[in-house]
Amino acid sequence: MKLFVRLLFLFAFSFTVISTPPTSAQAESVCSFKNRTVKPGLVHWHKNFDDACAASKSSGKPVILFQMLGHLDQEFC
Amino acid sequence: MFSDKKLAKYINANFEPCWEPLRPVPILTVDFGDGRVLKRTLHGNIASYICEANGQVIDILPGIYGPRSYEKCLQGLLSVASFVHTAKDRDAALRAYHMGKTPFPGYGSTTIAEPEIVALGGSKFLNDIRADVINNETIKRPVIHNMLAQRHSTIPADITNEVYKRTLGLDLTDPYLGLGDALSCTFPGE
Repeated sequence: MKLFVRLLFLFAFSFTVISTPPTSAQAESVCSFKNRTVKPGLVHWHKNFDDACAASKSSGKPVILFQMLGHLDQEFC
Repeated sequence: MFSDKKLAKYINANFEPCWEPLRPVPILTVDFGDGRVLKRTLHGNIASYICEANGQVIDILPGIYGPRSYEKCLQGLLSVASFVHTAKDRDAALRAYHMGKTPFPGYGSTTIAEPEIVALGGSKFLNDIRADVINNETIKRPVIHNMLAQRHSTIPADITNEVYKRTLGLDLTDPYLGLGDALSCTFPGE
C-alpha cells in the first residue's frame, strides 16, 4: 500500500513538473518564433516512406529514410 | 548536407530518398544582451536508414556526417543492398554482413572522414565533423550492427526508439530529451 502511495505521489509530482505552463513572457516568446520554411537541399525527396518504397519497387533503387528531429524544410532543424 | 551538389546528384541517381520528422527539434536561444541573440538547434540527432522496397532495414547510419563521408558510406551501402537483394537467403546474407562475415569493408574505419578534410580544407568546423564521423563509425555503427544482426527483419518504425536511445543517447519518449534535470535544477535552499 505504501509503495502504491509513493508511486502515486511520484506520478503526481512528475506530472506537475512536466505540465507546468509557461509564464506569459515565455509563452509570448515561444509563439512569436516562426521557423522559416527553406528548400530541403537539392535532393528529390519523396513525400513519405511509403511513397519512397513504392518508387523503389519500380526503380530497383534502395530507399533512404532520413529521420530527424524537426523538419528538413525549416530553417532550424 | 543535402545542398551539396555532388551528394544530391549521387542520392538522386542511386536511391529513393525521403525524410521524416520524429518530433519538434529543441531550439536554443541565448540572449547575450545588447540585441545579440544566438539561436540554434542541437545538431546530430539524425539517422539514415537504408531500406529495401518492402521497407525492411538493411543498415543505418547514425548521427551527422559531412557530404563526402556520407557519400562514401552510401556507396558501400549500395553494394550491400545489391548483395542482400541477390542473395539466395536474404536474412542469412544480411546477418552475415552485420556480423562482419562478408567481403564488404569492415566498419570501425577512422579514415572515412578523410575525403571531407581533403575536399574542403581544414577548419574548426570540419575537425568537429571529422570527430563526429569517426565517433559514428567506430562507436555507434558497431552498436547498430549488433542490433540488426539479432533481428531477422525490421522496419524503421520498429527500431527507431532503440536506435535513438542506444546510439544517439536520446530518449524520444522523454519530452525534455533527458535535459529535464539540467534545465530545472537549482542550488540547494533556493
